Parts: sequence; structure tokens; C-alpha cells
Amino acid sequence: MRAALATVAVAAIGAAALSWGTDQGAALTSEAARRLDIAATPRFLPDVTLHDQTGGAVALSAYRGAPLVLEFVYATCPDICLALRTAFERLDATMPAGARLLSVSFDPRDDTERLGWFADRHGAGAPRWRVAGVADALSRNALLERAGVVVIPDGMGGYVHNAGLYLVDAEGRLTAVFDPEDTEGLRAC
Amino acid sequence: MRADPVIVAGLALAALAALPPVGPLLEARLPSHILGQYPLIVAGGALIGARLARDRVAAWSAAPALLAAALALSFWLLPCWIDASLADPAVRAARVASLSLLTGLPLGWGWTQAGPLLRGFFVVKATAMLAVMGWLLLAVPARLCNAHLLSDQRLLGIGMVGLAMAVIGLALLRACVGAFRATGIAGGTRHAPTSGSPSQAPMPDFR
Repeated sequence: MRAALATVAVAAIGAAALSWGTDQGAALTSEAARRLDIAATPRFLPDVTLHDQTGGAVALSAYRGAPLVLEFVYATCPDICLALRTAFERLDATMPAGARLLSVSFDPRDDTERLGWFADRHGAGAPRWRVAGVADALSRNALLERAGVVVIPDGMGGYVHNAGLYLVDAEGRLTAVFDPEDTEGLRAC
Repeated sequence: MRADPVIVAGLALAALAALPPVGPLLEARLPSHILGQYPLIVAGGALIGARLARDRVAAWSAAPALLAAALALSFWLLPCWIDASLADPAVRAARVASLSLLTGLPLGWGWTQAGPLLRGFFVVKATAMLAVMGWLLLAVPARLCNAHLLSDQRLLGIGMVGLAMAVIGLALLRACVGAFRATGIAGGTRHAPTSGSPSQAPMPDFR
């Protein structure tokens, strides 16, 4: 009897802990938890200075007034950024004229020349689709952290990162993150 | 009063696996993180739990203790909490404390208190979960942990399935050897294991 009661009590506590730890089963991965969190509480991104593929500088806050879709990439990315590229090309063709696209590189090695390669390869033209880096490491890290982007070296000179399409509304708040394949969902917002 | 050497050894083992220089090395890759660091921390706690249970009999506590160990471990196998523990030192500390005191300690305690039936049930369940988790890791095409590589996730899957296979293989081997011995003693002559009486084999029909 004592054993059964204790077992039931342990099971109840364990189930409660697992439920709490997964947002009631909605988020098993930190990626899912991050997206839920952003959708529930939109946040402002730090106003970093961006250096784009033409060598020009622009503040992230200058994008306010129209919706913006962000992606985080690095210029020499061979795989996941191709999925993002397809998504951005599709968005470029279908989004309203006022909306903007911004590819932000998290790779400190990406200078104007390398950003230019990336832009040429993907058919990106400023100001509609800007490819930019953040020169200042502190600002770059602050932006990545605020957006919840985790970048780890892949051991072959490249990076692995959680890829997504980041929707920033006209007020400059990050309101949602979508899978690279989910351009439909993004346009519906 | 002198500190019990077994308890000191348990604490030292958990600390060794969790703290630099060994801790960060094990945490760097997913397979060594889950199949290296976790078992070492749990083993440290289990040493303490088994030592505490040595002179105390409380058979009723075996099942709840083993269940608590399994549930606490499964919490720290959630991908979001693996990520969180690598990103946040406070979560990391909570994980080490939890794996040693909420998984290892009740495991050592519960295993010592448990009878053969409960032990067998626990091993079978744990092995099955290990195999299923490994298979899931191999089947999932996306990364589950933002802090770890996809190739490491595959490697962990292979490791888990391999470990489950090893446990099953070992159990089968023991059953065969047991059956062989049982028939050898009972009949006085050497028989093939399949000709032995099933009632004399320690494991039920394994053919």
C-alpha cells in the first residue's frame, strides 16, 4: 500500500515536472520553445549598424515603417542557407513592394567583398534585399542573442545554426520565426 | 566521525564528470555528453544511494525510488534542457545536482532494495527506452539540440541502439549459459540448451 502510494506520488511529481519543462508538451526542443516565446512576447532587436554588400552602412532601426524579413547566414554556407535562399527568392517575388528582406551574416570574416559574393549568388539587390554584416562584435552578439540564434562551428571551417525566417513588424519588433520552407505561413502574417 | 569512503568516492566521481577539465570535454560532443558524462554523474550518485541502503531494509521504497530516477533522467534528456544546461551555468548546476541526487541516489537505493522481479522489469524497460530513443534519434532528420551537430545526434542514436543491443545480447548469453548449466546439473549429462526443460532456465522462452 505504502509502495503504491509513493509510486503514484512520484509519478505525479515527475509528470508535472516534465509537463512544466516542455511548456505542457508543446516544446521538446529549445527551437520550439524559442519560437513559442517570441510569438507570445514580441521583442525589440538591438539597433545595430549594418554594413551591406555595397559597402554602405545602415541602422537596423532605419527599417521601421514597413515589415521586414530577416535571415541569419554566413557567406560561404553550402547547405541550410540554400533553403533560406529559395525562401528569400520566393518572398522577393511575392511580397508587397514596401516589405524588405535582410540577410544578416554572423560570420566575422564576411567583409564587403564576401557579402557581395553572397548577394550576387542569390540575386539580392539593395535596398529591397540587403546582405549585411555587423562589424562590431558586441553588437553582433547582442543581436544574435536577442533573436535566439545559436551558431556552432561545424568542424570544417563553416557553421551550423538554427535557420529560420524572422518576421519584424513595422514597429521594429520581432514577432515570429518560421521554418525556411514556410513562406506561406510568413506571408499570412 | 570519519567520512564514509564510498560516499566520498561517489561525490568525487560526480564532481570529476561535471567540473573542468573533464566536464567541458565530455559536454563538447553529444555522444560523450549523454553516454559519457550522464552515466558518470549518475554512477556517482548511485554509489551513495547503494551505500545508504546497505544497512537499511525498506522494500516498499524500491519501486518509487527507481521511478523517480527514471523520471528525473528523462527530464534531462529533453533536447530543450540539454541546450539550456549548456547555455546557462545555473541550469547546468541544477542538472548535475539532479542527475546525482534525483537519478543516481534513488537508483542506487532502489536497486539495492528491489527484488529480482522489479530489477528485471527495470532493466527491460530501460533497455527498451534506450533502443527507442536511439531509433528516434536516427529517424529524426532535423537537429534536436541547437548546441550540437546533426552528425553527433546520429552518432548518439547509433550508440544508444548499440548499447541496447549489447544489453540484450548479454542477457541472452547469460540465459543460455544458465540454461546449459541447469540442464547439465539436472541431467548429469551435457545437453544442448534447447533440449533443457524450460522451467529450469532462468529466463522464459528465449528461442
